[in-house]
Amino acid sequence: MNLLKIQLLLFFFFTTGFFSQSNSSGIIHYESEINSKKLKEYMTNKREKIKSKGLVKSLDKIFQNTNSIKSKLVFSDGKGLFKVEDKLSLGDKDLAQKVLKTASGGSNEYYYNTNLKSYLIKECGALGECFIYPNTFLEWKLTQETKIINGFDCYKGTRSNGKVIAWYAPSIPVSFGPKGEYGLPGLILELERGKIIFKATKIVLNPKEGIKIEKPKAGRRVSKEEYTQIIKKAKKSVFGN
Amino acid sequence: MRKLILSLVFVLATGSTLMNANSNDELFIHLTKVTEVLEQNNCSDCVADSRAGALAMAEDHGDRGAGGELMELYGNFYTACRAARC
Repeated sequence: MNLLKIQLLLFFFFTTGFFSQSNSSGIIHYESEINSKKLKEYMTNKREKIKSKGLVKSLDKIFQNTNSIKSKLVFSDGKGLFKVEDKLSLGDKDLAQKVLKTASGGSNEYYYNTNLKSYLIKECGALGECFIYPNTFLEWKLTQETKIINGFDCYKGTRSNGKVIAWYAPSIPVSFGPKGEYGLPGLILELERGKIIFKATKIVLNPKEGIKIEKPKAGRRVSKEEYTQIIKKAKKSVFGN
Repeated sequence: MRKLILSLVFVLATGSTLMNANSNDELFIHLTKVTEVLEQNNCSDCVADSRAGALAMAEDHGDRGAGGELMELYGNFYTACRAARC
């Protein structure tokens, strides 16, 4: 009898868990800016080593004088799409803002589909041609560190030897985040990656308006290996080996 | 050292231009060419600065997706540099 009760309880938890994830939808607004840790690193260590005064001037502006970039993650029924939503047309001389936008995801599209286990990146900014390629499997290390973000209890997860830090909310059972980050047992509400930090500023769960997630299209579909080779070749022509 | 060479180029080119010029128009054309050479040289700094700028802002190279971003950042720096200096 007890065994049957346990089985019923397990069945209830699994089914409700499954349906709550597959039926949930939401719009998460993020803002990204230069990570204060990286600013400190630049000011105390890296800045003095740069010889070109022009470059120091440009980097100073990027690190200290940029407005945050807005981006959005929409998800519904196990699918999601992350894009920078900054529509401002930036002039050639507006370098600082352009760099921040590129580092925040630029014109890229990050598509997630947990049902089909399909995770894609559409990238158009590097070589003047759009490529669609599979996102890499991301291996996370989970920790017990917690903090509250926008009223949600969040746990810390890291990857790439602690270079990427994510704070995710297990109470929102959606395994997506900004800039193609995925695979954690909860939605990422804060992400430190590279020089940038993403922070969720507005969380709208189950909005009234319907959400339609479209798979990236209009781009050359390549494998991850093909894309790596294309970029490697281009990088070699600019940066050498 | 580089500045010294550039200064010598400028002095020699301007000197020979002044000696060989037959009219004011010709002088102007020659001077324009000299200026163009110097400007091109200034523009060539854009390549080095853009490389350094992109590397300073890019993510760790070992990390995924950094390759395309590095190229895009290089493009950002290079376009801005050309617009400002050339």
